[in-house]
Amino acid sequence: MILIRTLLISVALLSAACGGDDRQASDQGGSATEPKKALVVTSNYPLYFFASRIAEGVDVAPEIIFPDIDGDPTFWTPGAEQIQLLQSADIVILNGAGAEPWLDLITIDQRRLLDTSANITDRLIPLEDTVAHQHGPEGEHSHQGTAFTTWLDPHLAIVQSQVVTEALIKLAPAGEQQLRENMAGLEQELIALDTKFAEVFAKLDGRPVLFSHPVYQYMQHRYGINGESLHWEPDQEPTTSAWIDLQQMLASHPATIMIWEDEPLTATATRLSDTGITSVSLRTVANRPGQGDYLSEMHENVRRIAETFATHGAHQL
Amino acid sequence: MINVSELAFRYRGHGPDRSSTFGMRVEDFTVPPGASTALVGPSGSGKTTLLGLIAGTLRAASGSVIVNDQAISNFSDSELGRYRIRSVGQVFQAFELLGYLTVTENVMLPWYISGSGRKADIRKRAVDLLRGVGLESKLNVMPGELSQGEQQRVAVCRAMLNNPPVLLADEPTGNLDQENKQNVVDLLVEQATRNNSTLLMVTHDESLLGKFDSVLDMRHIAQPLNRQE
Amino acid sequence: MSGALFLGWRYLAHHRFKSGILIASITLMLFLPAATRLLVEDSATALTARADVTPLILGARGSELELVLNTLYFHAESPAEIDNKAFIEAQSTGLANFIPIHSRFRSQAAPIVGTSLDYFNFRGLNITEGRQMGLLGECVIGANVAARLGLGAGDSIISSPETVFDIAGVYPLRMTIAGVLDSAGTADDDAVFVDVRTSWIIQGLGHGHTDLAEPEAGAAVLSRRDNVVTANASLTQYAEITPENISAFHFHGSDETFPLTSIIAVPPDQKNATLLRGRYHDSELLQLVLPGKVLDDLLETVFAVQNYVILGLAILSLATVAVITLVFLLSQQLRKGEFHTLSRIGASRGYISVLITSEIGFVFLISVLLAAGLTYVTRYYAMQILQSFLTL
Repeated sequence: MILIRTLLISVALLSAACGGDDRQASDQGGSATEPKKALVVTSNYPLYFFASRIAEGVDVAPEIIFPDIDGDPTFWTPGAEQIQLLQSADIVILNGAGAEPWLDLITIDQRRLLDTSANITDRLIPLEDTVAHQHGPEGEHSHQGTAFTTWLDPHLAIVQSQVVTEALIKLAPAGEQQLRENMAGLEQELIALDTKFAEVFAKLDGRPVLFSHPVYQYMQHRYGINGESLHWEPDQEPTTSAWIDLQQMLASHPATIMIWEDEPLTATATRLSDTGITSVSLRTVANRPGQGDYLSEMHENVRRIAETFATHGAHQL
Repeated sequence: MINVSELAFRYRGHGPDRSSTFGMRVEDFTVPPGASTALVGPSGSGKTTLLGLIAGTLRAASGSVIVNDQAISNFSDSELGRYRIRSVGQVFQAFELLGYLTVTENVMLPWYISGSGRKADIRKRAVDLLRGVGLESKLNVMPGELSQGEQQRVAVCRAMLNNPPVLLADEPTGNLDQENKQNVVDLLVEQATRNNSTLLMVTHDESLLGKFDSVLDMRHIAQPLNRQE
Repeated sequence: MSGALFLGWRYLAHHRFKSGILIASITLMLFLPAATRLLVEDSATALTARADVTPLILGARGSELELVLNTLYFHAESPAEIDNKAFIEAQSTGLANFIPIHSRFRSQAAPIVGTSLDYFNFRGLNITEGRQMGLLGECVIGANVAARLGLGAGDSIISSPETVFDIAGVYPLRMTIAGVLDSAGTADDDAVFVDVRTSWIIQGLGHGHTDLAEPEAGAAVLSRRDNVVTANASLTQYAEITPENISAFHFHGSDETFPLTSIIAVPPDQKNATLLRGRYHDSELLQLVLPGKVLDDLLETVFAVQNYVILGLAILSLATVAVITLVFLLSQQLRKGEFHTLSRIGASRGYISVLITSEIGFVFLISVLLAAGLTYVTRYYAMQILQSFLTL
């Protein structure tokens, strides 16, 4: 009797142990996403300005963010929180043309990247005098490729802004009409800016100028500026060899104007002035300006250039 | 009290002809209550058989065995089992303790069989019995660790657990040395006297006969049974 | 009758050695077939589940099974590698969401899986501690890796060389753990996930070192000619990617030639899946496989083997039962005297029967409980046992 009872209990226990699987394999791909306001992150300030202008007053437009970056955005290495911001964005608007070398250093969904220069690769300007290195027979490798300050050419900026507009429309189709209207307005403003730059630089009439840094290629190309670039930092005194290189350059390129990314040191400007070179700053506005915005800064650039040219007088140019 | 009357017993032989039987007839005798009686006789005279008939482990072919007014000859098997638990304490020559139980548990064995009574009370009785025979330090020891004398004392305690009116001992001193023989017999007689139990003990040792109230000789009370009877 | 059970139990406990052998034999007799069946069926279910939610796998022509096992379970045997170009071209078709997989290296026993962020969404993997990987050189680890090695966000883990004497080849890269994944009950729990470019760095296709264009590069420069600087072998390469040196990391050569071990393709619908399969049907270099079908073929073989194993165990069990029966019968013979004593004291036949049965009953009961317990434990660890075999 007891034996039978024992066996019955045991069989029941074993059956329970071998019974149905109550542990499901959880290999369901994908996770439900809750509706949320779209997020757009831009990789530099000009793109942020363009996107903000286009989305201005459009309620359904996505949130547009330009991260806090110290210095030139091109040399930015995103921190952990900033990478998380980029990863969470619906679209990351890139300048392209090599302006975001940090992209190679981070993990991000490539499908969320929008390269605003992708359609103008034929208009990108390759960099010269780059230094390549190689390890044995593997082949050359260069750390630099194309010039990336496309936003300094208002016409290229218009093309980039159009790409931004289409992206914003995809994210907020209900606001298409207003987005396009805003784009049209921005386009007019950029054209007006372009006209002013053209007028100012026309006064050079092919005469040589110097650039403190090779960041004005698109302006140079747009306005036919006869310029040569140095590698001088506005906040650092040039070395003796740098002055020697300048003299050598002046021999074949007798410039009397030097265009700086920012106000140079007084000593540097003075010494340049003694050499017969007038310094003027033309800010690239790659990052957020202390005051104003992209357009106001660019117009201020125009004013400074015009003033410098006027002060110099045509005969000195 | 034990009363045997016109008792006849047959048991099957183990020769080639299994149909042959032989047995014994026992003359009427009575063992008074509280008496200690030695049962003697030559080997094969039926001493163990007689004890078995009184204990109810063997069934008589005819006649009666009355123990304390109970006619056990008429008992069923289950009644006989209950009778032995309650009324008969048995001590065997080979001690027959269970080697996987402790000394105390061996003494409590009748309780493990019957389940009658509270365990705590039975345990206390067992411990008291063991203390009474000087084994208080061996309560949780296994039988294999005891001397032969100690083992037999445990067996006596087991037999006395339920205060049986009848105490049957089948050559309990057969495996003991002289000193232990005396001690065990003294113990049995003492227990029987104390509890007013009727003691019937089989022995071959004439030096022990003086400790008993009387001696029953199988030669005088038992005859072989003819085949025809 | 409880007394009979008590005596039966004490008898067993006193004869531990004999009881132990009997219990062990019966336990094994019950457990082995159950465990075999359990492992096979559970593993079949899990294998199938993981394969069924992986629509298509693109890889090099060759063993389909090796490709599938390496992709799903990060099996140590890597299939032949394919070029990243295949991934770029596949993406350009727009027919599916493609997820690159590079599963070749290990960090001790844990496979290092180079992939993209899409993989985590695809597998439904969530970060339970820390954050998702951000910078190159960061990784996220599976729950089992974290538990086994006692690691968490902020710790680091080092890739293992492919061979002991791998002096000139792949060398260890220290990776910072950005986060720990939630337990998924799959092979993902035992893996270390990195950006696929980090796995290329481990492979030596990318590295970081001091800027050779700077004069400070010194003795590491073999020659400077025009605008080309050639480094020599003394150039020290960084063994760890940090926020301070990350900008020094770069790749040599086109990333189209960089390797992957497979690509997971997740088409949005059957039509795209069909188009994809047609596209690669005649490819000489690539194959697009259905993981579920590949594993079904494998499981057919496994089930056949299982049946043979269980048959063998059943035959063995018969022999075991015969021996156990003999042991019990002998035991009863040996205990005849004991039963006789009990009978003489007053035990009924029923009591003796219970006593005899209790010996058998207790042994079986304990064996069954042990077998059930072992079966339960086996089921609990079945997936881990299986995955440890699959990642070997």
